[in-house]
Amino acid sequence: MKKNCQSLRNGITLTEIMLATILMAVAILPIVGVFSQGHRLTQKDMRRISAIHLAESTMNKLLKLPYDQVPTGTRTNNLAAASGTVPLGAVAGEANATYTISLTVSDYPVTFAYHPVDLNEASYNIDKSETWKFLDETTAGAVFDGSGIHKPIMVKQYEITVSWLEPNNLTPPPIRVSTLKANLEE
Amino acid sequence: MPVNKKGIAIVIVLVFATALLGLAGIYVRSSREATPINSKILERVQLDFIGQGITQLALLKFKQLPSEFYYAYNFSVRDKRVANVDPWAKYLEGPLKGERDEPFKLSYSTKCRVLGQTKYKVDSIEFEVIIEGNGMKRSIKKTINSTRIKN
Repeated sequence: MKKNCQSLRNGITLTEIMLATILMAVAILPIVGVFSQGHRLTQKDMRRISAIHLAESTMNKLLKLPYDQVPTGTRTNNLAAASGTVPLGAVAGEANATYTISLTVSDYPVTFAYHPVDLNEASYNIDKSETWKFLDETTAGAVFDGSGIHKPIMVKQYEITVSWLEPNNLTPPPIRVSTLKANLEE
Repeated sequence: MPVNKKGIAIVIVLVFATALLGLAGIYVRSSREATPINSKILERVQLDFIGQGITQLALLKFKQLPSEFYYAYNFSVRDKRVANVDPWAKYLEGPLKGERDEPFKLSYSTKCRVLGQTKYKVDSIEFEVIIEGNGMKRSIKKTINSTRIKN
């Protein structure tokens, strides 16, 4: 009788273990799903960060080129200049993604205003600021809008766009960075 | 005294599973917080490049109008003189100060310091562009050496 009772208790423990295992499996499955989703999100973030770094490094390489070696227009292939090559087009990156880098260079008209000093003023003395008479605001000699031979374009806008394809074939919003480059060489 | 261990395994498993679910919750929350940080990285890079671009404009204006720069700076900043219109404040306006809507709403302004006037020798000039947008503020500085020639 005693032996039978002990045998029954062992059977209950086995049922408990089986039930516990099933419960554990039910609990772990969604947790595994969450971690898997987290891994996918991390990979997605890595691709985005990689795209930002590509845009940043491409722009830095571009800014090292002299003003006159960067032509206006849109380019999707390598920009080979006398001072170096800027890689554009398809570039392999991190997290098994291929990025497409494009460059758009456009003219950036600019006009500077200032107050000139009246050099014809009788009391004018270059070393005494109290004798300086400032005239009305003007833009004379400081218009760079490309409208004439004496008003050349002196500033260009560079825009780098980096796009890529996610593994699910979705295209995320591209990374865009832009800056200005002035002709300081002439 | 015999201890009743009936159901203890289920209790242990439930506690363990709850702990695992809690950990998973923390993991999901940290993953969600990572994406806004990535956006901040992009915005910082965009602000820095736009700031560098405005610095280029400041350098171009100085290169094209060096006398006007020194007249305005020496009058208003060095000698602290007052006129109806502050020529130095006006010099730093136009393309050197303003707002943009792309890539997001931002504003910028330019400051400038002549770090030592040696009068017709070499001056060191610091241009600083302060750019703000999306709760971020960046300062881009560029220092140049300028040789003045009396003519």
